[in-house]
Amino acid sequence: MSKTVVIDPVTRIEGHAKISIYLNDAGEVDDARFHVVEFRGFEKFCEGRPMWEMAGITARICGICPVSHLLASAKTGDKILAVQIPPAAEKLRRMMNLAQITQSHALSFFHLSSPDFLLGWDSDPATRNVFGLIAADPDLARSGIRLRQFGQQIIEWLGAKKIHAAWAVPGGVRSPLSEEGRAWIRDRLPESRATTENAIALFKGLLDRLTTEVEAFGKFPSLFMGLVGKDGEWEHYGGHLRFADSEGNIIADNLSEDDYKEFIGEAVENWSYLKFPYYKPLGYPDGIYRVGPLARLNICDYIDTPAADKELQEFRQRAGGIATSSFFYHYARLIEILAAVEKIEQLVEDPDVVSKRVRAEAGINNLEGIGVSEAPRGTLFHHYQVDENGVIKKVNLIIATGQNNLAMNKTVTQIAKHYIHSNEIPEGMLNRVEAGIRAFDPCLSCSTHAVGQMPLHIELIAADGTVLDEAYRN
Amino acid sequence: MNCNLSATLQTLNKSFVVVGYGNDLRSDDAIGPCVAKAVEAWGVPNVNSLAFHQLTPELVETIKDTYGAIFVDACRSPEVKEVQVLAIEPDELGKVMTHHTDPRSLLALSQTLYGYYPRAWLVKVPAVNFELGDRLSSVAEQGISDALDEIDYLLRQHTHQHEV
Repeated sequence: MSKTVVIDPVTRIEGHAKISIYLNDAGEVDDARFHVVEFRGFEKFCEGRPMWEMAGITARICGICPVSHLLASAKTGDKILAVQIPPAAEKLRRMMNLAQITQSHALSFFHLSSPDFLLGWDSDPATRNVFGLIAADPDLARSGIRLRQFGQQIIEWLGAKKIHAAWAVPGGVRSPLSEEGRAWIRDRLPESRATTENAIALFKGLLDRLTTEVEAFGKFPSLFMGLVGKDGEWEHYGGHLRFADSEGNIIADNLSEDDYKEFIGEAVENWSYLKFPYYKPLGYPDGIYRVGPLARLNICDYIDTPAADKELQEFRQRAGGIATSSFFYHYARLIEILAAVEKIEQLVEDPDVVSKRVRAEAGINNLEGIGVSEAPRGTLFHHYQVDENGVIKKVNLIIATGQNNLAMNKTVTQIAKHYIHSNEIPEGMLNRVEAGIRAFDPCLSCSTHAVGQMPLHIELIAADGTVLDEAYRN
Repeated sequence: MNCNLSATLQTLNKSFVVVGYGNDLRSDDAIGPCVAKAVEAWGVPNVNSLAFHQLTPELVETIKDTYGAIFVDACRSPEVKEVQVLAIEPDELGKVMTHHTDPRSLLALSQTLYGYYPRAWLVKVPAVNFELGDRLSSVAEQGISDALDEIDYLLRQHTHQHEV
């Protein structure tokens, strides 16, 4: 008799999710689905609000990556005002985004994912968390917390709040970095760099014994998308959009976010509130693409900071070229933290970051604007239509996590097929399925744009639809 | 809040942190940040007052250096009918640390990482409305006022105990 295994809730990710694994009569995995079960409605309830409020409102989609929405929203507002922001403002926005990438990736690695690598997928679930990590390696745990604090504190120095800082605005930013903040950042940079380099060394050391995970955790060909700079360098804020395939071929380049509807379609399935973006020229679902750290490292020609670029070269060697295993997201995150730290080292010495010329003023000059930025999890689009008074008429948000939806589903299916071969499902196997999702570091609060607590529910469903078994976490 | 408390805290070398947390766009969930901002306005030098959307693991770096930590949060009424001040202890079986955590887990993290955790209290303030909005209910406003009295009393009590 067929069964469906359902993992509900998925643990150690942000947001609510459920995974259903469908077994055939032979007890082998037939299919798997990653369902997101919550809905929020930001795109709708923003209608009627002044455009000036959008940065503050959309930042509150999420308490995890508010900076990403703040910056994408501000860039959208820049287009509606038709202004070029002062150079100092761009550098400050970049610094905030780099801090955001640092803190988010640090939490993903040290708190959410490393318990699996370091304690083992089959270890006791009660201790397979940050407390277990502390017991195993207190220095690593402590340094990881301080690395995240570094990123969060830079955000606070710039925006006066760590979360939902109302600092990036259409036209620029509200204030420069203070000299006190600059001194603090300089003081903490060496430690942050050392922590990152140690984490990269640790992960590379683990890779040799994680070959099964590398092969089974979402390794498949797909397109990759993200921003690159004018010379093809790694980008996180500006530049242009690029699609590349798993062979390293550039499929589409020099794309503008203004034309996103020409190359990104959004499909809907009736079993999830998360939309399914795809590369339009290839149709749905063949147009599957991945975004985020793995994609950004795959599509760029190089990273324009020396230590991170050196790590990128080794990353590509270990991957055998383009990294197609979703497990490599963890590795990519660490390299991005290093790139971020190196860039912050440069920016903190730039006199523009303390300049008072940080905002261009203008009125409504365009009735539509599209802004793009790289959030830690991937490319983020904000699209607003406004009236003559700047009141929002329509909003569309394409969130990073949503763009990985097809890939997350494929990853879950692949892992389930590799590890589940009978009706008895040990806890460690379920954790591997969850870990596949965790590799993407999804933010489901943003992507549905959903609110609520975060459980993961697993259901085991027979071919006739009978729920044979269920498992819950949280 | 007057200068005497400030002087006493400095003399005793006791520092406190007040951490008020909640979403200020969800009506009464703003109680925690409102209380924290009010305490900040007292301007007591050895009392650091912080307002957050949510508690995060790196807060351990702040609480580990304090004598006392007072957490303030909105709690749904009628389960909580009036302000409650609860002494709390570490509990590492609380929330698994993701992007947000809870007071007891933070204390556990401090104990585990640094071998120390501050004396800690959770001030639960009754709240009735958690819908989207930026206004406080009358229940919340009264609760904030009561919570501030409780925090003032708590700070004085600890200086008085030391003197005794």
